[in-house]
Amino acid sequence: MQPKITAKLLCTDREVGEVSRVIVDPLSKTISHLVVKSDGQESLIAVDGLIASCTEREVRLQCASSALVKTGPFRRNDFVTIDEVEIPHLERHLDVDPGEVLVPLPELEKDLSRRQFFSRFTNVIGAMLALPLIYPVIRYLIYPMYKPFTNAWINLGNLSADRQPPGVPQIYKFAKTVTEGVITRHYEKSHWVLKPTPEQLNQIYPNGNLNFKDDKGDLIWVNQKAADVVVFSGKCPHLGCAYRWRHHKRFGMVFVCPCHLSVYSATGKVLDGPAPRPLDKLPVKVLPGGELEIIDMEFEAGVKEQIRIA
Amino acid sequence: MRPPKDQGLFLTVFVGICMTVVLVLWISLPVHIKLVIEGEEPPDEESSPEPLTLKPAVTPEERIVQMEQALSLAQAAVKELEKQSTPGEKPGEAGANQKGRTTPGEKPGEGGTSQKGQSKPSETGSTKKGSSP
Amino acid sequence: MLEAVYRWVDERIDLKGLQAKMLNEPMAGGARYAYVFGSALLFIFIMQAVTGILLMFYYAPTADHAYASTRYIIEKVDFGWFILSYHLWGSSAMVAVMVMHMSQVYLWGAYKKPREMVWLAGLGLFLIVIGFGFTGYLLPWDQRSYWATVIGIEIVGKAPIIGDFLGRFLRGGSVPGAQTLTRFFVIHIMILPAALLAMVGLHLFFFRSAGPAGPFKGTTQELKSKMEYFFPTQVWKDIVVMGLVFVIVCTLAIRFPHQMLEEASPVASGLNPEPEWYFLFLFQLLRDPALSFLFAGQWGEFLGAIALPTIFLLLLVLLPFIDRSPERHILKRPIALTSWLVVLTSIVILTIRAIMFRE
Repeated sequence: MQPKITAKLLCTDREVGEVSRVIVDPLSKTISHLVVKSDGQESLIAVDGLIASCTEREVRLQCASSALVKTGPFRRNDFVTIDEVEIPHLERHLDVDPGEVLVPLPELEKDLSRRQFFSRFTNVIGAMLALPLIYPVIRYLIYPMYKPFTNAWINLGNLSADRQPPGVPQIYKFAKTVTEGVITRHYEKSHWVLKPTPEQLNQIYPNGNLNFKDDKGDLIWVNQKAADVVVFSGKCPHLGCAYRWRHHKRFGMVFVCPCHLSVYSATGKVLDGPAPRPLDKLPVKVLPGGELEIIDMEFEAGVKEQIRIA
Repeated sequence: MRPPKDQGLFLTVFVGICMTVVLVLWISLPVHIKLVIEGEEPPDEESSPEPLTLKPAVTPEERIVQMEQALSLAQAAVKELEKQSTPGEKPGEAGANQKGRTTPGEKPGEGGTSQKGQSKPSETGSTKKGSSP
Repeated sequence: MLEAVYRWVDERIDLKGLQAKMLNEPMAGGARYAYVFGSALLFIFIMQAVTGILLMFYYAPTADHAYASTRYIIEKVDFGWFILSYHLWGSSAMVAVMVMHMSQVYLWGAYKKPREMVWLAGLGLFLIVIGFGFTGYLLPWDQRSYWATVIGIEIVGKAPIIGDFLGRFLRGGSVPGAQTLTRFFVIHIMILPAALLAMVGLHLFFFRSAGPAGPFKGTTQELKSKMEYFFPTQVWKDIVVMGLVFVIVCTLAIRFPHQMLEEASPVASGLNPEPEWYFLFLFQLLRDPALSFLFAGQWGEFLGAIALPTIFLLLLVLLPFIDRSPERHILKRPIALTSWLVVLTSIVILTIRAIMFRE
């Protein structure tokens, strides 16, 4: 049992006053002091080991009132409530409303500037531990993200495989090998090859020769305007789907993209649909013997300008 | 440890020293290291593959100049031999004369291809109209 | 600005109260550097988790690409060598600090009533950390990793009754191969971290329940008068030591970056397989010529590889129940002190001999 607030404190000889607070030792979880109100004044009395009996309404001490150790007036700031301290399983020892029970705040802890300093210094050290990792980790993570272009010529096929007459495009499938990190992958890609008629050439290369530059701005290839062969990237500039050569009821034989129904003419010009720009042309060279070689570039989808991304 | 009189100053100085050390670390830390594996030959100095920038081995203009130079040298050689051979013709020289004569024949063909303004590199020999007959 | 955010959250979840409960833990006798090892271990674990997650960005956990991807990390990825070397030195640091932590708890008698459950949870953590070391060692898939694991699983396989099953479970077959790597990878990055987090939670909960044991010297009155709360002084000592550990591991990682051997192959050409340094004592126990009278032969192998470690572990588990005396002063517990000295000295001597007798 332990006293309720407003219980009377009685010594062997007389009543001393009213209990207004209970002070608990956080380590032993026993009542170490009581705050007693008498004549409107609150004083702190050490009662450790002196409690003879204890009910809700009165606390009887073993000693006489003259033997009581009054450790001075009660200073609330010397104490904290049990909400502010970790005392596990206190409820097993005491059963009071939280505001009534206090725990002493050690001398050292009372120095606010000391607490503040250690608090701040701890945070600073923590930040300084995290700091050295920032730069290496960022570089570690972005390592593969901005790799320069490899402008390798790959074989697309032979021109003799083109069964279409001039002016009609032919799809060319080829095997692409890609090494990313330590993994090498093979997959099939396709592009469209066109033997353009002179009128088509004017539409495909309206501004003359088409220059291809690398990321440093150096010229790496020029597609001549007077070309025998034009290669369109097999990816639709809208969102990258593989488009087809189909009959369209309004436009006749055209390129149609099945994903969002962009329609292009044989020269790559946008006739209908959400395509932001005409079909992308790739650098092409024709070797003696008819072998077609291209640089398999990739361009950013969905934008008006042609921005190379691979 | 006792808290310092001027906490702000202490902490700022501390942070400053740490940041300096960290910056030195970041600058001096090598980005890559080479593994030396027992049983393997030490790896060659492989820099990341340079993006392929195709520069022409020879421009068409240079080609014309080269051929003209070769031609003039050959003509000079022919004249020399003619001077030497007029006292007495030798079969070797006849062959040399013949060689001298065929080189002019090549010129129109070369000129034809070089006039086309071929895309670099010029040695691709693409199937263009008007190539050497 | 930060205070405004703090006040907003505090208004809703009583953040101040939560912080107070977490930080204002009374410690009899005050904060000591002797108590830092537990927090240091937590710090090392967090660093291992961070560097481990980063390594997973580029590591391919299949037998065909494990070696190449590890080399890729070391040789090609920016600062990959540093992240990997930190992870590997961190694992050694974890074992070293764990031994220090266990020793401190043992010598301070902090396993005694009412802290038996803290000790048991701690032993669970001990086994988990050993598991981390064993499974992680295989992942680079070079000759050293492969053969150390082959031997390790062989030893496990010698356990009676369950040995063959356990060996096959770890190997994913009868012979170590691709399935072994995949299993070890799952155990290392998923099963053991989850187990560790759960066990740390229990360990901390039990610890907070019982309260810190405090120094073994001094009367209750003395200790009460020197009482300090966990925050700020113990937190401060903890973070100083964490900083020290960080600097030491970074220095080791930079000065001694991880070196690999050739890719794992079933042909152990010219290689002398040996486990990671913290298993060397057990390795040496089985092959030391001075101990061959005990541990040679099939029975001896069983004794040294299975029986002895199991008995030792059992003793550790039963420790709080065998040693019921409430005395915590180490100089007044001669059996405890002697056993600790004997065990640690033997481990150190065996480890040194293992290094000396490398062929």
